[in-house]
Amino acid sequence: MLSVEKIKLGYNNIPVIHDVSFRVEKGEIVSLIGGNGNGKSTILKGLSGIMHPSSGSIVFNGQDITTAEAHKVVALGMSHVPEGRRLFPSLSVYKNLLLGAYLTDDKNVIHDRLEYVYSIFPILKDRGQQKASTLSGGEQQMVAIGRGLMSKPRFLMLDEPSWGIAPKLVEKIFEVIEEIRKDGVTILLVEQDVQEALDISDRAYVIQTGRVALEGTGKELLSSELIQKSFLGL
Amino acid sequence: MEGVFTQTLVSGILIGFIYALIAVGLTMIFGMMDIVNFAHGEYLMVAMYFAYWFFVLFGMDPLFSLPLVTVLLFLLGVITYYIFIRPIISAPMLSQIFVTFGILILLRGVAQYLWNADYRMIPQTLTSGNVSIFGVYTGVSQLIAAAGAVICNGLIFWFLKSTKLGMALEAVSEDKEAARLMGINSDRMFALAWGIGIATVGVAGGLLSSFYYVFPEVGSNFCLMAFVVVALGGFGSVPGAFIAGIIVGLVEVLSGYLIAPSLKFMFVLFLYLGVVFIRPQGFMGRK
Repeated sequence: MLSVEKIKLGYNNIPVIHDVSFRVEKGEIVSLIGGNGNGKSTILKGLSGIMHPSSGSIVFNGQDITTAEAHKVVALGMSHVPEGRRLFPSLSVYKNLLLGAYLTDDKNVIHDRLEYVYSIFPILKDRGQQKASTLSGGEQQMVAIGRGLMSKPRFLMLDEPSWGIAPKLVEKIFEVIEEIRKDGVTILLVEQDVQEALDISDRAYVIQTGRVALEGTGKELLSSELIQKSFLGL
Repeated sequence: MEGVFTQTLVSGILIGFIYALIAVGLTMIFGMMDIVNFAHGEYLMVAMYFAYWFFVLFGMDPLFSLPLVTVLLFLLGVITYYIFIRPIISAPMLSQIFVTFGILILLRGVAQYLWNADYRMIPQTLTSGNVSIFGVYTGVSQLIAAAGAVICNGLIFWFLKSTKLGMALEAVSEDKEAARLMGINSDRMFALAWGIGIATVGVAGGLLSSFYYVFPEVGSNFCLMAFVVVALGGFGSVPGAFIAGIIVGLVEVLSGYLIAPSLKFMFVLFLYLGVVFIRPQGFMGRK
């Protein structure tokens, strides 16, 4: 479904990502894991068209999207739930969700998507008229994921969904991610919570200083020495 | 004495509505892309000249040429965006200031070259004359201009809050990157914001032209007031600009009436300083 070949990415000519390659097959949950500042979020920005690689290629569903603009990429069925949630703070929860379905004008489709999101996160229905900025961290994350699902993506990228939310909710969020996958959405996950991420991932790539340091299935990586030493403190 | 006071209050509110309308475009453009349009007053001047020439050349009353002027200014705003603003959208603030200030000088220079520095006025319009409402006298033109400004402000507010396109504009002004991830073409939204922002100042210019002189520098004072209004109301806030417009109009005429006409702008600027010191984000602005 997604194949990334040797992409280079950087800010103001300072390279951050060096020749990173990976792939995601249809129906998988794949994780990019690694500590803060290793360039995981930058990779997602490169995929969704917020940034463009200076070399390498990104092919999504057989289509080259290496230099595609962000608003075009969404239309292809790729949705990016960004780091730090990035809600529209002074708009209502309802409007935030509607904006997720910006590219469709079909009222029925929008209604169905809303119902789907409410079925995953029932609390969002009650919070509809509330300003997004007044929600708790966990609820904001639900809005962010819900908004990302409103475009009916085939491919969902989640950047640190466990960031800044209560530990009890973290588990709930990861359950939801598995649920979404069951509904036919392929998932690329960026996480610092390595244990949780590897538990639900089919495969994962360890990103260190802008390079792929290690790759393998979730189970393999959980038992690898590098992961245990660097991330799990075992 | 009391009659004069009420009279003054009314004229303050009326001019305040116009200030608010001029300021709405300014605050919208700023809210969307953090660019301060120093040439805003010059677009007002251009709109007034358009209305003037429609009258002189075709005998069109400013009220009738208003839709035409609005459309022309909308296009001028969009063109300005694509030619001048787009290349500097992520440039340092200083470059952006130079560009919009450059547009100011350009438009003023062109106006002086084409139409010289004379003060011109449309001699007689459909709305000339005065009316008395509950004992308060006011020019019909002023009254219509104020009503037009309120309607236009209301339309902008409705557009932003209740239409899909308006929602997209708000989304871009809240978080450009997140808006792009929703599939919103932020470039097109910027162009639209310039179109609407300049069109609103076009409406203000068209309305003003029926009772105000037009000359190449006419924009400077209105624009200064609009800046005060934007800062008071909060950068990027449309309702804030509306309330602040009325306050600025009132402070201007009341200080002119109670203290001295020559000092009226000083008091507006005092008010501005006071607000900036105490509440830098304005009445309704985001921090």
